[in-house]
Amino acid sequence: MATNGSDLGVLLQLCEKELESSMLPAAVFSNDEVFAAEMKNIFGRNWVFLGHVSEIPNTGDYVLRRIGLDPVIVVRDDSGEIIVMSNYCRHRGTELCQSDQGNAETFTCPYHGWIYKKNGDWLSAPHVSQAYKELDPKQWGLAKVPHVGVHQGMIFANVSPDAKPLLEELGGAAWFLDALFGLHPDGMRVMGPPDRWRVQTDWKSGAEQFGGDNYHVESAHISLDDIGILQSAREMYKINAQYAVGNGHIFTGHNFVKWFGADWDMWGYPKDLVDKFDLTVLDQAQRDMLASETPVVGTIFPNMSYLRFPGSPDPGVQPFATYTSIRQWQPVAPGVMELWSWQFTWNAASDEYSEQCYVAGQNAFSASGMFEQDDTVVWEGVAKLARSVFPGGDIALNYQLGFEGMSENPIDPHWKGPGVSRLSGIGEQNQRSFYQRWLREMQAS
Amino acid sequence: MSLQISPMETSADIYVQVAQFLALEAALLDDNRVWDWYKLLADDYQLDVPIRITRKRGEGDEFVAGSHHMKDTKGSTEKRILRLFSGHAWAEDPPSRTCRVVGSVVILGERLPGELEVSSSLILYRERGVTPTHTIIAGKRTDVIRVTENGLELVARTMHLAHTILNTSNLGVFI
Repeated sequence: MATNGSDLGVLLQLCEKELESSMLPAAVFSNDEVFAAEMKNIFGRNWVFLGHVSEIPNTGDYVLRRIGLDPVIVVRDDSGEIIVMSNYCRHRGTELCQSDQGNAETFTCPYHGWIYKKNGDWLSAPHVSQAYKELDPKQWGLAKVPHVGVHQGMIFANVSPDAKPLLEELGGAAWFLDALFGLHPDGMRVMGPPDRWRVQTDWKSGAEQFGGDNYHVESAHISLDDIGILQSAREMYKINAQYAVGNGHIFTGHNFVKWFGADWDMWGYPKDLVDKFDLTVLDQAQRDMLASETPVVGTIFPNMSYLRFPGSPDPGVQPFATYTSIRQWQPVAPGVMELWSWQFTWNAASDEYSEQCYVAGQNAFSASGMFEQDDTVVWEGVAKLARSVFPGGDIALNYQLGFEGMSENPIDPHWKGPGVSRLSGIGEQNQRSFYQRWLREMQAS
Repeated sequence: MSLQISPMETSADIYVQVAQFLALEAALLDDNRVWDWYKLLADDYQLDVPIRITRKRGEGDEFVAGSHHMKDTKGSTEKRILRLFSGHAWAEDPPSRTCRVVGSVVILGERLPGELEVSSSLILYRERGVTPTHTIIAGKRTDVIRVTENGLELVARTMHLAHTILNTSNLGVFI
């Protein structure tokens, strides 16, 4: 919570003033007070992505994930419900779960042997009838995250007791997720555990870029055009739509047919897979969107993004496959994040196609990804600038692409989906929308 | 030429050839002689770097089957090298300064006549750009090395990293 006169309060006031002119002070990308406030105001109050239901299909299956900096066990309990709970024993705070994933009937603390049921309820302890005659088990279970929600198989949780329902908070983003993940009744599943690696930048750098930064592709990723993995990168800006959905959720679309040709509609999925999709579950606006500026990347506030794009690790030799990746920009410290990246496939797709999607996806966006490598280095500067004496963290960064006559960034008058759509890659309305939501959360008491 | 080798009877001559080959490979990469390194790869070269997770003992393989940080063929490796010299490979231009230490070389056996299965460890020291901060990439390789008339060539590599969450910004260097 910021109070007037505190350093954080002053900085947030500067953010508010600068955002009115589509600027942002660099300091927000590495600042101890900002980071501490984000852990409470952003990650302690919003629906945070934790994983996918296909990662914990069976009773007792669990994965160890994070909400902000805090470890949580995400477990499938006996009733089939997904429980999200603290990893710290209630006796002396020992971490119960020391592995990334597994299956447990109970969770036993190695320190004094307290035992919890798989849903976190206190169960027992050594010599319990002599040791804990008066202990009320209801008071000593693992701290549970009060709100857990699932949409299109994606698990979200909110640690705030007064959280609004997930669907309400997703708003128009749910409409996009439906158009992306709801195309087949069997849905999608993850392929393997997330790829994870540490990047020397702020979590917001990834979140804002993956919500609609079309402008960087022909500069940061031009090497892929040089070697024929990406075609016509410099033409891409002509075929984009930028969707500011509302509430800081942001998406962008590419018209693949205009960009690459008629064969590339529906993200370039093979016809035999598209034939299995059931588009009758979508509304007309969703169907129109898929037939024109198909959504390619997007960010669900605060720190979950997705990407769907066709690629081949070796065009002409290996076939093209359209990969779907979910990314999470995990905050680690001011100016440091971890990039977590999952590859997904349609349950209706063949094993062969799924493997091609996995390899194509990892070849492009992963720790070794030929696109992603360059993002990880161009992001590094802002975290250092934020802490500089010269020119100083208060220096304004430019978010003015498409703002008030700066660029040709027209609103699409025919858009029937949620929020605002602009038909050009030359714009930063999406990033501005993200930071307006961020600021609102940071200023809330 | 085919070699009859069993793990118990690896001749010093073969061991020296294999160890020299791996050391040469590392030196070429440290020296940025990437196309010379590429010539050491067999036409059917494959690389697999599986993803590792933390698991309790007895709960399954830490290296998750079917998961990959990287999965390359000779063709996709060529694409990576072409990218490095495109003039726009920002992650590796300027190139990382690396020092690869290859050790613990063991000839495990002969997969097929003339194809040796070899294990080695790698510690890769890496610095990038104008700052002196460094990262370390460590892991154990299981390679298939083929003996040909023209010398040894690398047929397949599986790299088992000592990391779950990588501590380096990207895998822009060859491991």
